[in-house]
Amino acid sequence: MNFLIFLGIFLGGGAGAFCRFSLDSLIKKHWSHPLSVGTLTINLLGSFALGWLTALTAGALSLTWGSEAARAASLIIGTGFLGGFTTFSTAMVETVSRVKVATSPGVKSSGERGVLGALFLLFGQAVLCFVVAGLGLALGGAVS
Amino acid sequence: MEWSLYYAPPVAPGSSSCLPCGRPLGTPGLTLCKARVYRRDVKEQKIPAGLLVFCGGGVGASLRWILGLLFPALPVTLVINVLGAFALGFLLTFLALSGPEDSSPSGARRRTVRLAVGTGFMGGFTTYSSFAVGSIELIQDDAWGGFFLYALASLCLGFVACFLGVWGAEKTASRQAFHVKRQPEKGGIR
Repeated sequence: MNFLIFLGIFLGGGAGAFCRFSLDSLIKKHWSHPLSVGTLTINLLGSFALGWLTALTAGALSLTWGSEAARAASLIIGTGFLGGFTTFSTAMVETVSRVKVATSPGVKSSGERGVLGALFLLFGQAVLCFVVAGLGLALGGAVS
Repeated sequence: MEWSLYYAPPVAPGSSSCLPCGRPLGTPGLTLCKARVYRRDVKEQKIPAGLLVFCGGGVGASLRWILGLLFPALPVTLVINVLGAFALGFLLTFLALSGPEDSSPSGARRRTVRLAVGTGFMGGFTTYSSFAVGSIELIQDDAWGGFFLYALASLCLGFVACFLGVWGAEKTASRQAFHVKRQPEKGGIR
C-alpha cells in the first residue's frame, strides 16, 4: 500500500511539475510582463487547491470514501501533484533576480524603490496565497 | 551528438533553398551566419523538456514526502523550502555563468540539468501550497505567534538563502573562469 502511495506521489509530483512548466511557458509566451506573473498564478492556484483538498479529505471525502482512501488522495494529489505544481524556490529566485536588477548600475528604476518593490512582492505573494488557501479550506469544509 | 558545418557558396539570386541540403531557407534550425555558412542544428536530438521536468519533479516530490515521514516532529516544509531556495539560486546562476545553452554538448548538458534538476527537482521538492496551507492552519489553531514565526522565517530565510546561493555561484563560477572558454566546441568544415 505504501509503495502505491509512493508511486502516486512520484507520478503526481512529476505531473504537477510538468503542468507548472507548461503553464509558466504559456504565460511567458503570451504575456511578457516584467513581474513574472507565471509563478504567482501557479502558486495561487495551487494554494487554493490544497486548502480545498485538505478540508475536503478531512471532512466529506473521509465520510464517503473512508479515511484510508481520503488520506491516500490527500497525499497523491496534495503532497504529490500540488506540491510539484507550486514552487517556493522559483518564487525566491525571481525575487532575488528583481532585487539584483534593481541594484545593478545603469538601470532606470531607482535602487531603493526597486528593492522595496521586490520585497513587497515577496510578502504580497505570500499574503495572497494565505488568503486563497484560507478560502479553499473554508469552501472545502463547507462541502457536505 | 554532433553538428555539422556546411559551407555553401552564396545562394543564387532568386533561390530560396540551401544548396547542400536542399531545405528551404527559413527552416527552423537552419542559420545563416556572416560567413555564409549554413549550420544545421541537431535540434531533433534534444531530450524533451517536459520529460526532464516530469522526472525531476517526481523525484523532488517523493523526497519531500519521505523526509516528512522521517522527521515528523520537524517543520520539514520550512527546511525544504529554504534549502531548495539556496540550491536553485546556486544552480541557475552557476549554469547561466558557465556558458550558453546552445546545441553544443555542454550546452545541451546545461539545458538538461536546468530542466531536470532546476525546474523539475527543485520545483517539485519545494512547495508553496504546503507553506500557505500550513500557515493558515496555524491561524486556525489560534497560534498567531507560531504563524508569524513560520511565515516570516520561511520568507526571510528563503530569500537570504537564495541570495547566498546566487552569490556563492557567482564566486565559484568566476574562480573557474568559465568565460575564457568561448571557442566553439566541435565542428569544422566537412
